[in-house]
Amino acid sequence: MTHVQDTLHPFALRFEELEANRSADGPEWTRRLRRAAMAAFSEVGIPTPKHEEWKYTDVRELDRMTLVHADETSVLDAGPGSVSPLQAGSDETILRVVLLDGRFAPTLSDLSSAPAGVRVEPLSVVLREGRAELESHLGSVATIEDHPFVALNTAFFQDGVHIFVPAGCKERVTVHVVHIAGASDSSGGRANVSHPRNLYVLGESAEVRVIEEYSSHDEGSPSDRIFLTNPVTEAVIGPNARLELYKVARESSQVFHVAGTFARIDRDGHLDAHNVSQGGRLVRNDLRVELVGSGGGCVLNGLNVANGRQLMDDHTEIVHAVAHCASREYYRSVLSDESQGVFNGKVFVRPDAQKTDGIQSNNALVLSPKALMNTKPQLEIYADDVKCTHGATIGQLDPDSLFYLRSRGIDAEAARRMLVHAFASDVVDRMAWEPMRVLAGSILDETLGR
Amino acid sequence: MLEIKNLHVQADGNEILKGLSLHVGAGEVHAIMGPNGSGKSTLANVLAGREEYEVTDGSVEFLGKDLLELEPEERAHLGVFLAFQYPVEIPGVNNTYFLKAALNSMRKERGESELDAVDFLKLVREKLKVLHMEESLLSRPVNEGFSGGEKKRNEVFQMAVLEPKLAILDETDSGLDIDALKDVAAGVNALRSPDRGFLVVTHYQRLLDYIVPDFVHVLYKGQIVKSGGKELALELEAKGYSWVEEQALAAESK
Repeated sequence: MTHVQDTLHPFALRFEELEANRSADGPEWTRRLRRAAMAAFSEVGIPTPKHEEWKYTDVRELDRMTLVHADETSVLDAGPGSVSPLQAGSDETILRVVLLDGRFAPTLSDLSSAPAGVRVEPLSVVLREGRAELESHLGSVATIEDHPFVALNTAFFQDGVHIFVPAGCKERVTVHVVHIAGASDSSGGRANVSHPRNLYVLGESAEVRVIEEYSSHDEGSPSDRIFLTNPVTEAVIGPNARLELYKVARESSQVFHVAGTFARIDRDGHLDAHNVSQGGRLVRNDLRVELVGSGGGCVLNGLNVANGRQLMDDHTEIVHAVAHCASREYYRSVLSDESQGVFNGKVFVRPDAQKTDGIQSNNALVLSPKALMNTKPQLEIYADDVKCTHGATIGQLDPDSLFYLRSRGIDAEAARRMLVHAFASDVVDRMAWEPMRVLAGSILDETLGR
Repeated sequence: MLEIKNLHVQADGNEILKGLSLHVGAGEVHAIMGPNGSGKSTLANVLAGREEYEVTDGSVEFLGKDLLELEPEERAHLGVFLAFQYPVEIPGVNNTYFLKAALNSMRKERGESELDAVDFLKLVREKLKVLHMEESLLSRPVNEGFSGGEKKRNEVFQMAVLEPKLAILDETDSGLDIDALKDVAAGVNALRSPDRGFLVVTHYQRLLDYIVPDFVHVLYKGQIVKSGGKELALELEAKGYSWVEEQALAAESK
């Protein structure tokens, strides 16, 4: 059956407007990429629950939203007093990049202390200068064909962070990227849609820690106004290089946060991807890791804390393309009220990927009778000498544990709190960067204290 | 200090305790013995406040208060402690953190200041010695991966730290080897004092060689059918629980 659209989708309309004025914007290859991306998006559109990958996650409201992108004439709103609750220890040098509605904010950013040879720059600057180094990487790891929101991001992204660490750089670089949605006013009103795009390229033996934090500043906008934050991160992890990536979603309940993170890992390279989601009406994370060199590995570690009518959906995909790679995946959800969680964990072990060592686990703690978790492990193994396990549990607080704690004098609320923290500790303790563990702890306290 | 009168208790619609009465005075050690299914553990759990049990009749007064009206934590604050028959494993909760939270909740109730980490550790180290427990147990999650003996030692260790007024031991001796049994008994005996009462629930007479009771009660079909001094335990061991059953049957047929 063919699908006939009489009117253009708002995103397609917007794209045509931009195309008319785009002649001076970036090199020709990016314009080609954007057009291909727009075509790929138009083919699928905003997915419906009929799409297998979107079965439990309904984003159709996005079809009806009025789009206001931030542009050159946007006026920066006063913004929050403090950009982020994450404060690093005093002995750690941090480069900070602030993006407002997908656009770089130079006055709030601090990139002055990058070590020699390391480049941390707004993506827009690199594109404007037409440097060739991006062409081989941008769009090479994140694919526009399988993910309509990656296509959307690729068609529309304005800015983001480009990190390049050359081979042999001996310093570990920490970059804190703060994205604030709804922070700017443009001719059409408060900006409500953004497509930040990040590209991290790590040369041999390079080491980088990146914190991507997503918050919003939508006070004063009508409560029926919805926002879309649509970030895409691509990471190219070179031989023996290590990326420690934290992603925190703590936007308001008006925000649809639909994100994609895509990493390709060369031999002996490693990715630690930690995910903490608290805010947003809906948080969808697609995370794909391709292990393409032997000895590579990844740890995907996630904590979702949802309440109200929030929905948090993690779709992960680990591709073991070659032998001797290890993947670890630990996701935990704490669901209150009428919130919902979705986990879909794909692990593909290709015929050549002998000696693959994979562990996947997903556990949900359901604190209310109306909260709901859907979990689906999906392992496809085409090699015969591998070790792959998966496990999923959905449960409530254990009444025996509660009674045990209370019988020792600990009051019911403190006992519940203790058990919820204990449940989350499995993933929280795995986060090496202490400020993130502290933030995760306070997020749990907030959800329990309501 | 503890006055149980005509206690009737149901679980899942079955009546388990059928009019049990018992008085425990300060400084006294009472042993409750009885065959499987007689209601020993139910008694221990009802006193600690476990919610699965429904009290249908009778009363329990502790230090002048209606114990049955209180939440489990309120009972603990008043001085009731239950050493669990099956101590619960709680992954992710550190033993020290847990015990410090428990002790400080008690101290707060009593209007005392919270213990800091240094004073707490000092207190805890003393108690560990009595029970021959490794200090490394403190940094592990509560009961997780503990052997049976370690779990029971940990119960008595918690009791020693929390210093309750009424200590209830629910089959703390079951399944222990002789070394662990001696340690557990030493822990209990170290706590014996004129202002503290003990209710020792056990299936086996052997424990009472080490914790010598002042009174022994035999529980059968939800009632205390026989009470006596420590010699009753020996008699019971010699004659077996069938002796009690026969006597109870004889009493019924009269």
